[in-house]
Amino acid sequence: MRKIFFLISLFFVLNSVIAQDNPFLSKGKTTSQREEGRKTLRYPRFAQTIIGKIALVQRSLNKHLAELTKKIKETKSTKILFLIIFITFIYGAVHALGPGHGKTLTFSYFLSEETNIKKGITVGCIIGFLHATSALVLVLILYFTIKKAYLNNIESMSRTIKIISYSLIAGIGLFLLIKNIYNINRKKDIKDKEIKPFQSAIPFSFAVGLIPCTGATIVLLFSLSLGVLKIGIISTIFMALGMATTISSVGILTILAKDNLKKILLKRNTLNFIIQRIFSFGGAFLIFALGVTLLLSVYVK
Amino acid sequence: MVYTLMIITSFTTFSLLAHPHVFIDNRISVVFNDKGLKGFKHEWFFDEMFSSTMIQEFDLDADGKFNEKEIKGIVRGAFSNLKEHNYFTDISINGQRFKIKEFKDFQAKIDSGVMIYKFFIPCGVTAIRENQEATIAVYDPTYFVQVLWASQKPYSFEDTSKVELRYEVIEDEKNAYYYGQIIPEALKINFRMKQ
Repeated sequence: MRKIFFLISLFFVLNSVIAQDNPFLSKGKTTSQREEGRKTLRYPRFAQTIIGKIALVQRSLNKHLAELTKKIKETKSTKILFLIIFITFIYGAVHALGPGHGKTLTFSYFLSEETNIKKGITVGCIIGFLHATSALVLVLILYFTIKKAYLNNIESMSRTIKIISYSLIAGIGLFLLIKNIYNINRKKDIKDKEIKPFQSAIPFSFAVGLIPCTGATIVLLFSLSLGVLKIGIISTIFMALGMATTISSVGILTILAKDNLKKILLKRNTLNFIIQRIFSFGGAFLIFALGVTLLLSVYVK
Repeated sequence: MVYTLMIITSFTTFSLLAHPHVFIDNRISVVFNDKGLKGFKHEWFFDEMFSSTMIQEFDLDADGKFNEKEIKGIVRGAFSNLKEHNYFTDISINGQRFKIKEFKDFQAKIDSGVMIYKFFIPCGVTAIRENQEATIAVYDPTYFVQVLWASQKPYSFEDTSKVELRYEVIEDEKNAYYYGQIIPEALKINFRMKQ
């Protein structure tokens, strides 16, 4: 079990090193990353197929959204507005399914912390909405101030936000680790302990969600170029809702799987206790490691 | 239990701060000359949404066209940096990875809201009597961009009078990228001097 968990952890850490910089604009170290990626990991075939399919769905949604936004500019039809709302929601949900690192963090967090489903939904919603709102705020600031060079400015502002976000993530991970070490001497079974919701869930969601969503940024800049910023804002809101749905689902699934596992092991109290500890430690360690790795990826270029 | 964890794992590695954000429809033209392979012409059609953000950024006089000065700006601001990413182009010659040294004839234009890049990657390989193999796959290793084949004429061949060739599109499984998550589609060409 320990071994499996260790392997999974390693997998996550490796999987999550890449920050989402725009390769057209920012310097990267990707050639070596690519070589490294090739050597270290191979996804199962079915996962590769699914990821490929997701990309194609996104491509087609992206196309439809562009066409509908142009159409609504001319016709101002309510029917098209509803279509846009529907497509952006799906786009957000599917977008959040693509590879990256936020869900890994969500997963690690719920592995580490005593939780309930309500908390899972809250975390998913905060991350999804903040992720999109952050993009919206950046675009609006630029729109009302310098009115140009959006992409380049967003890229450099994102860098600052990333540093803040990753530091916070590492900090929260460290906090959870320390909490775990502090708890280690308590012999009391964790399940007797009352769940204190929202202890670190809200700071955690803020830290993760802070980074502006590039997808939303592009949708906003596109509607801005057509002179229909309002439509862009509506699109962003529903994209956020879509993303929140996906991330919440990850949270809920993690919680359910963990509970299920605990139920199976409930008969053997000591083992249950140990496993709970491993999860708790592992999750906290993952959050910390991810925060640090991501932070380094901003600097080491 | 392990099974449950596996499912969760494969699910969660897909993620929130998600990729891709940009889509390119790509066309490749494989160029030969009297000696053999000369190189690859690329034509990238960006998706309309990303195009609009790039046009806002680089069409400084907002006349709906890129003039020479603006194209220079694009090369500086949104193309030459791709050197770090091998210009999204993975070429192998007889199984050996080919290191791209330069690009030539860069052009950028706007066609009904779509930004198009055109450029040439020189890759000279002298044809001999025996078969040689060249593969080319175009993808962004950071997966910020999803590169897909253009729906019409995704690949073509130029000046093939001196060579015999066969080609096929393969799923290049051993070069799965972005931490082994995505399998690129590569164009595999076998060519030799006409006997």
